[in-house]
Amino acid sequence: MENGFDFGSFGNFQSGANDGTVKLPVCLVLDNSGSMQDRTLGRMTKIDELNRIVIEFINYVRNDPKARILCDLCIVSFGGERPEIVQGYSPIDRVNYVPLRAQGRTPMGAGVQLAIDLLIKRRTWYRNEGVQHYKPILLLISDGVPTDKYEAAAFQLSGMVISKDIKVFPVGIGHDFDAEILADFSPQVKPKQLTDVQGFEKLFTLLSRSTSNPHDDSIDKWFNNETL
Amino acid sequence: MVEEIHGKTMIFIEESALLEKGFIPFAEELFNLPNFGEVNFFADGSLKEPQRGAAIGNAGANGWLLDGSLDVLNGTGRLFFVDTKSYFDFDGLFDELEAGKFDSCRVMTQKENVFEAFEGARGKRKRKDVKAVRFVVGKLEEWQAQKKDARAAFFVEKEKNTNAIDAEGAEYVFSPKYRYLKLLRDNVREGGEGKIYKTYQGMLCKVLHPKHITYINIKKLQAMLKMDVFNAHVNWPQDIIYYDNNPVGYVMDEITGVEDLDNIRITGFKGFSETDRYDAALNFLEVLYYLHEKGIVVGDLKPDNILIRRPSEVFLIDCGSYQVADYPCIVFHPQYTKKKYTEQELRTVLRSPKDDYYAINKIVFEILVGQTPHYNPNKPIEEQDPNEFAYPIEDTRIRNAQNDKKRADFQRWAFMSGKMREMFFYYFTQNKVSYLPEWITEIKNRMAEIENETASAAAK
Repeated sequence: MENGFDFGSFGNFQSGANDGTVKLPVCLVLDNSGSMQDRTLGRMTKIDELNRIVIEFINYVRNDPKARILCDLCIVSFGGERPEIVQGYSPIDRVNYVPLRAQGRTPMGAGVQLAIDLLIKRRTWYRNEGVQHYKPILLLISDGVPTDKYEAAAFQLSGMVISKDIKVFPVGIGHDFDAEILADFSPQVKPKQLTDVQGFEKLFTLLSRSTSNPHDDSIDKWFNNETL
Repeated sequence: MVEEIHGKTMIFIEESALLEKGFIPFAEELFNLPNFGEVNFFADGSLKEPQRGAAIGNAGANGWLLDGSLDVLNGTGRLFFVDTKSYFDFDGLFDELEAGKFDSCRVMTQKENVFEAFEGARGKRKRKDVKAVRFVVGKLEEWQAQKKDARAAFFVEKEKNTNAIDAEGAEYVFSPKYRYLKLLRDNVREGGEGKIYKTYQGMLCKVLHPKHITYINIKKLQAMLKMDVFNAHVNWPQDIIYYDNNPVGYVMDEITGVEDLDNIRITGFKGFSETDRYDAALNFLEVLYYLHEKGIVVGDLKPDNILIRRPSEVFLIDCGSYQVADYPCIVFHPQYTKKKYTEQELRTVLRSPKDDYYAINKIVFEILVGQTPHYNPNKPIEEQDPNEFAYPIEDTRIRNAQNDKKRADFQRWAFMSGKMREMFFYYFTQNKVSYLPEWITEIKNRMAEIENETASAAAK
């Protein structure tokens, strides 16, 4: 061959690996502890409001032509004795969200640790499959204070933020959460307080925009109280 | 310039100089020189093609001028054609000079990129007896290297347009060219600076957000409408639209049956054969060449603004933000621009076509190889280093990389011609620019090789 390298039949190089597919990993780490049964946001309970808005977000991603291709979604809940994988990282077509029930304590540290472990596994898979990815987004939502040892997970996650491996957006619902503890998970973005439904909707609207355009920094600006 | 010509002189005339009205008077002045017998003219071999004048005429220039100028030179019996391949083989020209065949040389061109290539060749050899010249208002002047910040953009300190209105709720807008256009509300797309509506009449209207209806943007649109941009693959504004007697945006053609390159890219170019990739890359480069030849800088070149109609037809959209005349492009994409512009720079300093080259190289690379040139599996895309080039240039390393059959991107890198690999390698590692005509030539050459190889394989 003229260019010196042997290709045999070169009709198509797509081997299923390293074809240049691109993903945006998004992880929702959601508090479903017992206090989420309260109605501090409005007529609905906090957990019902959270479920409603997560379903709307999933529908947005499903219906947006770019978000549908880009987004790899993972959902972890922490309520009761241990966290649960509601949805492991999956393309949106394979996401099957079962609404959360509020129960028990607030194992936030274990929830975040589980989210970190899932992300590391997903990144290894990306590496092996030659899939490029945008910086993962982790949205941490809680209405209270962790009831487990959270420090190690907070330290690891904040290290990943500083190494520019992940973006973390911490959100406190109502008035009973501890902003300083939430800030431990996120050294670069201050926790956002949500006290009404509109705030919730704004949060997920901006997150939706990021899934269809990873370069859209509206959510960063909103968390930093900058003009959108 | 004519009075400076002494001894045996080589005059290399690039095509753009032959198209200047001042050329024939200059040539006549040259013929009257006492030492005219020692002047030889050189031009690129492609100008011999019989349809060259007609081809340029179709592109909007005065093709008859080219034929006339060539006839004048041919009449001297001292016009020689050289095959410069990429038009810019000035090293060969300097070799002739150093071999003592000529005493001095002049390069005539109107194009800045040709001058830059000439400067690059001259700089290496430190020759002072060679000059590049161009016509300025019919008179020949020596080219001067532009200072980097020499070209100021049209800028107003205080916004003069106080009439910006919000046409969000408009049912109709008015275009002087197309009259009243009914906006279809069930088909709206959010663009960078406004919303894009389909109209009942079949065109598209971009209705700008009030904050983007500025004095400069309207002046730019007016300038764009005066330009002769007739290319079906450039979705150029066709007219300004008005609401309540105020300009609110522009109208353009609708392009159907297309998908944006970003979508195609993030799905790994599914359905594209290797030939389709090369075709798409070539079509993309030819559209860019068309724009750059008209002095238009895209500025915000990115896969989202490139549409493809399968298998490989390319369209550029969102043209309202381009830099034209003295009106700047005030946006850029961080992944497709190496320089990080400040707000002030974007608004006050004009860019050159060379500033589009990082995006051009990256996009062509992504089309042909299917990966970003800075691919690093251990980093997210935003953190990949634009100064790192991820592909080897040495043959043995390429062969080793090719052995990893899981890496389709390495296969495609090896599949390019050696020249194409060099052009990418030296651009991304040393900023050595290969201009669009060179790229177009190399890709066409490689495509011809592929076709021959396919035919040979089929014949066996």
